[in-house]
Amino acid sequence: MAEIFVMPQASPTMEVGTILAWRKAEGDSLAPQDVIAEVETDKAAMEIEVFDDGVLLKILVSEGDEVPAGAPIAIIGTSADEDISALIAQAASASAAPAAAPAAEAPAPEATPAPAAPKAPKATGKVGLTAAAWNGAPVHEAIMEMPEFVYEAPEAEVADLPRSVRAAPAARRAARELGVDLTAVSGTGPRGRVLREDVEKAHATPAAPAVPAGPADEVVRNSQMRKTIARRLKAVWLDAPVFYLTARFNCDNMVAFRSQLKAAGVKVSYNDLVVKACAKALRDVPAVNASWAEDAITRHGSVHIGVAVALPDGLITPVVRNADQKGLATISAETRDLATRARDRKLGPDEYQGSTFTISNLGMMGIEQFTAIINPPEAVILAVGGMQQEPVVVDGQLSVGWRMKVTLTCDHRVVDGALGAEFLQAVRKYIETPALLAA
Amino acid sequence: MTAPPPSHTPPPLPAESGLPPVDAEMLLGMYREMLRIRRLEELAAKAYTQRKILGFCHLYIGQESVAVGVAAAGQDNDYWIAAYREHGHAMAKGISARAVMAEMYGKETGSSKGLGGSMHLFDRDSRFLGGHGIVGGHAPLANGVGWAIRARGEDAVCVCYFGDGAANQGAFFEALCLAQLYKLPVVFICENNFYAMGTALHRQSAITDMSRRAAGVGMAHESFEGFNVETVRERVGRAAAYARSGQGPVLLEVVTYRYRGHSMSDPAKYRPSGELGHVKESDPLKITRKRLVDDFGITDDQFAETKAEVEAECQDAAKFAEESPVANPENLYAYTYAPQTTSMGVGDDAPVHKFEQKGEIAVPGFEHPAAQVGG
Amino acid sequence: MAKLQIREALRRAMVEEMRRDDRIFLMGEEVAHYKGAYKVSQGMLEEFGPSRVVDTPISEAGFAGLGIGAAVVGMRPIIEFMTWNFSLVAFDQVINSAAKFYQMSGGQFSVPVVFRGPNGAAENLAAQHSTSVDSLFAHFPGLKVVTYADAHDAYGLLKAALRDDNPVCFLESELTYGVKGEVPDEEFIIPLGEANVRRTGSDVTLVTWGKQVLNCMPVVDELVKKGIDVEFIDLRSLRPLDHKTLFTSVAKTGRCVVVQEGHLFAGVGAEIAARIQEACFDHLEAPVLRVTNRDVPQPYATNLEKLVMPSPDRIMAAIDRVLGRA
Repeated sequence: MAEIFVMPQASPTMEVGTILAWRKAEGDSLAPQDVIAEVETDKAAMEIEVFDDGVLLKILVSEGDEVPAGAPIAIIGTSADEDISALIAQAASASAAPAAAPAAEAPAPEATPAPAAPKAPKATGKVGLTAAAWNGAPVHEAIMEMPEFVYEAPEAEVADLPRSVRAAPAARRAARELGVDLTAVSGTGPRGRVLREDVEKAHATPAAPAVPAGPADEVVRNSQMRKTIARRLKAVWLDAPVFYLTARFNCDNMVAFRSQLKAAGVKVSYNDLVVKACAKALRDVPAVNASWAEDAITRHGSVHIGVAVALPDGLITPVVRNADQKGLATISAETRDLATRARDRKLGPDEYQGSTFTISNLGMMGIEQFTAIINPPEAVILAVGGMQQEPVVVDGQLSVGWRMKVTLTCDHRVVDGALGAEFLQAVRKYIETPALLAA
Repeated sequence: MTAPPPSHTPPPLPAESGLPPVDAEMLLGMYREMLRIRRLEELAAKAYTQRKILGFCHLYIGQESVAVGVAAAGQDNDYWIAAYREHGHAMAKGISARAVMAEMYGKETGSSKGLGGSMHLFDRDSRFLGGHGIVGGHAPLANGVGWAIRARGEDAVCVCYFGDGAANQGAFFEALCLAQLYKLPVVFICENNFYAMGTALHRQSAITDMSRRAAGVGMAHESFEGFNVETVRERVGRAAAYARSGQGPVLLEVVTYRYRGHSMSDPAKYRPSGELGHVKESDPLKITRKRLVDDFGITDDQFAETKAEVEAECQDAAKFAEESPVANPENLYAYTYAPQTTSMGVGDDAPVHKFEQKGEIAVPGFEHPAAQVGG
Repeated sequence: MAKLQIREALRRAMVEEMRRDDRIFLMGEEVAHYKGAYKVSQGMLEEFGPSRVVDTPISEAGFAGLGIGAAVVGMRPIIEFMTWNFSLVAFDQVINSAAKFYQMSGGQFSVPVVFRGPNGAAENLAAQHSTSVDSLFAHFPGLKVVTYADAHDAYGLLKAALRDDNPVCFLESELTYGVKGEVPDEEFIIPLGEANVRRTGSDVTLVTWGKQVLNCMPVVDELVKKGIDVEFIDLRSLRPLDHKTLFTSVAKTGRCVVVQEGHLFAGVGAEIAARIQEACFDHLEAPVLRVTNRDVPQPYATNLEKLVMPSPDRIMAAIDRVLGRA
């Protein structure tokens, strides 16, 4: 039976071959391994062999012709007088049409190429390890493809331990750089993971979720900061027996002092002066610069003053370390820097931790007087109200003077009434005679 | 001062193989077997040019007399291990043409279920241990087979095939050394076809008789031409009897020739012109056919009938391979590790395995018989 | 219960199995008459004879291949490399034959061989005698790679390796053959692929295997004293790897330090770190750190060698880093 003989594909990259020479003529007998033609491919000149007994009945392409791999080039049969007209016609139409792909089996396997991921177990608060599988069937334990792993920590574990927000490293970095509070970003990644795009989106639209048409409730999930504030202040509220001492300071000299400094090119705020005053007062009355413990009160050796800074969703107290040893200009610069960086969330842990005394000032917000909650584990906190001009009585005469109210919250376990009052007297001394700040 | 014990001189090979003389039926059978290998290799070449066989394909055309002669000299319970030009060996040992072809086509019905391909044909039933791609790398394994044979007191040998190129590989030397040291029943057969890939023998080795490699380890060795299948049968029969009887391993160099390149991608342009034509004068099929005609009166009709049977069987094998399903993707991970069948039980549940018969292996003792151990 | 040296525990495992199973034989350099280069096989020649406890010439490729060939036809050889440094001479045999024979034959021939010997650095043995090969062999599917820290595990794991129907690379340690440990008198087997949590904790996971387990123990004590609740895992099997123990631990602690011999690049620690970051990504508080040999061939001088190997200082420093204290 005659068959069409096609141009073989000699190499994976071969697309066409050029007949350099026919080694057999029409009518020649063929034996296995006989060379019938020499062909040039992209790689080299190669010999085309036949592997069956037969007769070369028809040559279909001439020397010099370039033919695609898989295209008919000859007809080979078993005897010289076979009728091959049908095959010739078939070959002609096959040549006209684009050469069919070589008759190779489709190499793509029927099954999915990647190990079939088994359905991840629902989050049940359990540990789930699903070994690698192939088409649903387990593979040998020593095959080291990646298994699926799900871990849901028990609730108790999550509550107490300080855990990071589930966020990708890139998201964390974006949060740092853009000043986004990671704890306030909702994650769209797997298992609620915060992705960088989530952070970027939160940065672009920092507003709270849009209020719908009707006045619906807004549920703001507690951020880590909120949770931390709640936890700490609740603890000290329940724990420490506190009392409050209020004093009203005559600030006339402080106002004048500040103007003098300003005229000399030294810009300080009233709060800076208060910080310095407290720092020196703490040196005068060191028993107040202390922390309570069951068996002993620790009187701190250094004076580190925390200055409360309001943040969009909470507050933080950056620390001016060794405030008693720093000049006003330094305190001023430092406080400004700390406050800026606090708002940018760029404070390091030792910049907001470690204070021995805290000042909270709401004067600029129109608050005349207030009581603050102690910043644990400190013994006292000073709440500073606004400074304003008030009618005052001096030597029986009505006059106008700058006055400011401060309230000292005291932990009675550490500080008794007289001690607290003594401290406030010391503070008054420096506020009302600011020249002593330089002494 | 004691001198080292003298080097081992291997006893000579027996003068005769002890095999029954060749008769017409046996010789026609060997002729048929060689033709079968030749024809299947031709069809494999054809399939390769049609890209139905991919990767590497090393053909045995021209060397058929060696595998067939060794098969005729050996026993069914012998083990064979070979290199990558092993289609002929696999068929001579007993793997069906269908299984060989289907394996080369990468089909599920192949001898290794499509996982091995042309270079890795294996068959448990016929004791054919592959099919190995690292030149000379399989030689040490033959010793392990020989070890098992001796340890279990079996009457068998392991035949280890390789080429002249492998006889330069380090692992090969180590295999010879160990085989002789422990007197393992291994027959090493170097099919010296004068070319290791494209490099001629004398450009690879200062010694061109590869059997002499054995002299360095005290092993019996011989070299002979293997174009005549009867010569192979007789000479290998002698060596197999020797090894089987426990006298030690043998290295045989069988001079042969491959008519094609190293593999299907090699046009073999490194041969001097005329060499191939000259060697084809000693085509094993030609030699045996002449012998069958001259000495056993086999007729043209009988040859034609044989040829037709072989053609039918080989075409069937190609068709079977073509129509078989591809290697089963379900089994992608299935053959990396063998499933654990040995029990992990302890105490009374622990598995016990005792040999029915045991052999001793001639591991050299601490005291050499000729050594004079200091007083 | 008895206190056995590790060499005695290994010997006990081999002897018990060889008494029951004629297919097992021990082959290697100096295993018979010399009683073992490290005296692991002492007494075995007398019991089993020279056909089953076999001295070889220095031909690693030769006798490793012999073991493999014997295994494929039904024997169960133990091939001892005097040290795993020399296994590199037989690397082709182990990788291209032992690991791949079952697959190439389409599942017709399995290879129940155990390769064993001491791995990694001893002391002052210099570059060529201090190689840790664990990652080289663990890389290849078809092999199993196992190691132990103490006598108990040495016995139980070697028993499992000898029963295993696949090729096992059993990594021992030259420095600890004499270390004694409690081994129960009754026969037992420790399945391959199971890690051992030597101490549970919740602050940080410390992972190691082999000899480094012993080197990490004082570090663990130190950490506990400092109030760090360290979870200490002895992996035991490198392939197969106990993912469940590893991932559960790191998901719980969020922090992991891997201690290994072998170099940093492409060591087993790298594989463990890659798997942990993939599986435990959302639980990680810090990157997974590795404390390994430094990236130099092992030097001879004692002071230099100490600098190269993982040391308590470096391990502590890595722990501090993952805890955010450094």
